[in-house]
Amino acid sequence: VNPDDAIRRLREVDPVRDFEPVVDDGKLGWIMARPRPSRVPQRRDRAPRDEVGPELPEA
Amino acid sequence: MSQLGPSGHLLYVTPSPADAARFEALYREHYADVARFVHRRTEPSAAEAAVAETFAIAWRRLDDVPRRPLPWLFVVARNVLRGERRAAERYRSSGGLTRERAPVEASELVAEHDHETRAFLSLAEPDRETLRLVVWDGLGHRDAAHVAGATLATFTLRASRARRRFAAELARLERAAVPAQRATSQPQEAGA
Repeated sequence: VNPDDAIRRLREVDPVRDFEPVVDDGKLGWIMARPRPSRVPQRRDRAPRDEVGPELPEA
Repeated sequence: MSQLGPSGHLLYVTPSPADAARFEALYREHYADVARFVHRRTEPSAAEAAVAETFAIAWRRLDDVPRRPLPWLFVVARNVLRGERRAAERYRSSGGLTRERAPVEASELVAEHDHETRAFLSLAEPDRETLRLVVWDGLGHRDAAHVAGATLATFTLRASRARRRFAAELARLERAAVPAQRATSQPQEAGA
């Protein structure tokens, strides 16, 4: 079997050859209602002062 | 939908109308291609969720979507499917019950006795995926290599070998079928 002919025959048995997906508008709305994370880099190394508890007394 | 975190930094942003329009165009233009890509690689009941997750990732990462988005979307879809398979395997190995075959070979749905289908199923998975990308997904070698995570040279070699192996197996199956056909037709001829 010629490889080109074999590939042509394989193309004909594509399991979704007759599958025509329909765009799902409901899913589109559901996706776009989801929040998009901010791309601004966040500082994760330091919490605000009111989240770290009271300062220790000086020695 | 802007939202501030506990430290006062911005967690979420409100998409601009331009972003929303861009994503909607992306979704409408490529939904069918992504759906076919996913349906070729998993069972129908899992495919819809994988397609939705692929586009949800594209929505979150809209700034990363390249000008030619389809290969990028295929990579995301491939990763979504891999993640689902890993999760199913972890669940199974922990004693949970799940579908017996998460990564379904979609072409099994094609008539089992087709030589083309049987030849395809006889190949190793890397060969099958190579042929899926080129023959069924219709990607050029450069884009297919990108989706497969290989260099162009490696993918080209892989594709050439996969084509040869598929053609050889197809020829073998057809050779094997000819004597069987003769054997079934001879008694009829003798009786005629």
